Amino acid sequence: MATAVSRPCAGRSRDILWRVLGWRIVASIVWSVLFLPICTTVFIIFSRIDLFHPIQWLSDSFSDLYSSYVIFYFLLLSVVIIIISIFNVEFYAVVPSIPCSRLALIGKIIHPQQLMHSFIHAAMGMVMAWCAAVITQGQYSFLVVPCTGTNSFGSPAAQTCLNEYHLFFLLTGAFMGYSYSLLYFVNNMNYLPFPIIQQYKFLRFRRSLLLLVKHSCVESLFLVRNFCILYYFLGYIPKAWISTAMNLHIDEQVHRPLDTVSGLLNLSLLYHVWLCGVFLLTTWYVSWILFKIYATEAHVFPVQPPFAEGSDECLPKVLNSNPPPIIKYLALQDLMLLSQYSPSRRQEVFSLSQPGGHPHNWTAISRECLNLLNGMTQKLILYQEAAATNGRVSSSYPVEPKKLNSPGLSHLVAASFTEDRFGVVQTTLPAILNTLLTLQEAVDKYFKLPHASSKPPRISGSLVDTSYKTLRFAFRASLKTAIYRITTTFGEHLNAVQASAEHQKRLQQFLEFKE
Amino acid sequence: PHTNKFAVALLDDSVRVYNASSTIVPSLKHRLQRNVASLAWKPLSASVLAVACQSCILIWTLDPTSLSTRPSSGCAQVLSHPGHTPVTSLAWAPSGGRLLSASPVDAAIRVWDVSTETCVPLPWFRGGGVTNLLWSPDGSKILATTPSAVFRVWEAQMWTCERWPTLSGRCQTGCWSPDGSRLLFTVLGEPLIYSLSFPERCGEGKGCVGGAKSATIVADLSETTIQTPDGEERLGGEAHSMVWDPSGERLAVLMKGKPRVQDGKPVILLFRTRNSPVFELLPWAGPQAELPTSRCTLSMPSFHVLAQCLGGPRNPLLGVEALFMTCPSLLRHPQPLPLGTLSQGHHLFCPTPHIPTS
Repeated sequence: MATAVSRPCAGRSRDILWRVLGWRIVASIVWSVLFLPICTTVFIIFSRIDLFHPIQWLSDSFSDLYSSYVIFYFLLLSVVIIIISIFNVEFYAVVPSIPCSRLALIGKIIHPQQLMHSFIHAAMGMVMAWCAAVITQGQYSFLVVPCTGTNSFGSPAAQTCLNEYHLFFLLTGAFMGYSYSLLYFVNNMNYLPFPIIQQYKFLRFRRSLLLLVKHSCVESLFLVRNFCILYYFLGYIPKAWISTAMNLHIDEQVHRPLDTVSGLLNLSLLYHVWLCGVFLLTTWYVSWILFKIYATEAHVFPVQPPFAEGSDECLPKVLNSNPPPIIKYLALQDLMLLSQYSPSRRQEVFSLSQPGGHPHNWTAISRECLNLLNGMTQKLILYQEAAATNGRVSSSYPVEPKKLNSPGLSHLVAASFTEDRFGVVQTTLPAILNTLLTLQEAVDKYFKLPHASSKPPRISGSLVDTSYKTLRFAFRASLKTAIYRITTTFGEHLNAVQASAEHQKRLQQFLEFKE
Repeated sequence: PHTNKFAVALLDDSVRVYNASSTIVPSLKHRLQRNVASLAWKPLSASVLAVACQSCILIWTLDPTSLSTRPSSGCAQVLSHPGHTPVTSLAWAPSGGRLLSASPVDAAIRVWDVSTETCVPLPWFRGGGVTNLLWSPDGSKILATTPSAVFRVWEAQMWTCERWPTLSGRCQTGCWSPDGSRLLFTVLGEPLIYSLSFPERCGEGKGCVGGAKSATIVADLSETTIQTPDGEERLGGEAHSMVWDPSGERLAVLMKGKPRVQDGKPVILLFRTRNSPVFELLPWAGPQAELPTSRCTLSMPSFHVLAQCLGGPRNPLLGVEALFMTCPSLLRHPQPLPLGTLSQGHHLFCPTPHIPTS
């Protein structure tokens, strides 16, 4: 989850989380809700499809849009989207958790928080399916309909019957909501990968939209198929329960019962249920994508606080305190961007404080980066020792921050060769080189372990980002590039840096491009 | 880009890597490596080579200390995306992190993160694919040329682009100044060199290319006749490709062979340049000029000449010695095969051809 662990810091970290991410969350929810009318319009147009009378089809659709009850459904659907978005916000993670066995996977699914997530999603799915069924009109709109069959023994008063189609709709909605929640956790959709390149938000959204719609159509088809099978075997349970609870009769003469093969092969019903599924999945995926895009957008943390009150948000402070993980990631991402693209902010990092002449900014930033890298080395060493004693060890692999970290640090060091006027970097250069080389040794040893160097097969073109599976390779590559960056910039001057003999030898190999 | 190695792609779909300091020539073969169109060495690494093939991009990670002549297919990573085939142009970011690839069929340029094997398509425009990608040495801008009379300059922070229609033809070749503030380019069919400056610096977090309003002509390479001690010589014509030295002091232009000029032999023209405080492009002045001491690295697409300029006072008349290596037996490819940047390599043939100083 997103919040920090200890009580006194919880308030302050929630505070900074809200300050940095607050408007982003709200903006993404607002845009998801604004996207809803477009989706609903398209849904209405497709649900009234009538290829033989196109003009009438379009005019009927638009007249339906302007009727008053549609406003009510917009509001209801907006509430649903807001609830789903809140769940996105509460459940995101910046570190992917990769269960290493089937048992662990099952354990993840039946965790109480995940159960609540699934239950709420199933309920929301049912609400959306109800809206969709009512908007579709025709024979799917109402749960309870007057019976049309004649019954010579029955009273002249009309009896009420269960509209099984409507029930089928509602149950499909619940099933789709539950499946969405299940797939969300199995595919680690709550993981927020940081983008390869920075782009304007609208461009990122436009690029994903087509893929998203295609994916929803296909997934809806699979879910409808699975649900039909489930209903065939177990459909009589809800039917019986509802009809006895609400004292309804089941009208066998108007339509065949749906838990038979002939009943289920009703093409019109299947089409409308599939369309409802596409509508539901598209709107939910859109809210998920908008949240991802907004949350991973680069945030500019000021290096020097302009006023005393703003000091909580400045970069060195954020890196050194223990903020919620996403804030730390955003700070590291900002560090990486500033080290590559902003000479003016780099000057601020290399500057000395007034009075006193201490390089506070650089010390804070470099200390935090080195801590992260050293922590990583320790973890790798422990992992190797554990693996040496008992086979596979499961753990989540928090590589993302380190991956952002090493390029940022090395760019800063390389830039300091020309831009650092006071020599603040040179005192820490031995420590940096030491840390990077030790980490590189640990990584090389890790990759010699049997299962570490196997790459999972890549599925291209899918909606879900599976890049977390290959993060360790990305980390190794970026670490090597970082060391090369420092050696190529400093060149032979590196021989003057204090380092142990073994590290000197490795540096020499890097200088000669033999690594 | 850092060591004395170069890679040559052959018609039999293999790639050979030649190293100045060893006689071993590893030959890279892979079942997916067909119709190699482009090769690019990764900056800030010892030996990572990207090979653009018919159906994918192969990233070979070669061990610089290994002695094998047939690295296994396990050293190669396959990057592919449906619809992005054949890949014809590759460009590594100077910081080594990202690889750009372009295909004439796919109008979108793709930005790859090689280690996670994921790619992101840049916004695409109608009007044909992208023929050539060129990254500025400071990593801030990318030139993307297309088969039509338009080229685009992308900036690498927020990935927006500026569109530059040329007057008369497609952009033949281009090169960036070392600080990324100036682009020199030529247009097919015209014997002129244009310059486009990018004076603006962007604000933080915003992407802007910042190009000047129009390009200016800085050099006219039309045919002229000059008097030399050996008689009259005709020089000039269209440029085939251009390369700017990493220190920003020298520009080399490879001219297309023309029958009336130098008997159809390709010719390299050298210029002295300066980018700050004001841009200057002067012909090479000869022995009175400062003798070049820095290395000039060129990347020259040409199918029968690989040229390389050595910095060093070998020929007092010219101030520079050029080395031509002809390899007719290796390649009979109908199109020029672009290669990665060459550094000082060995001397395989040493004629000293006449380099005109105009």
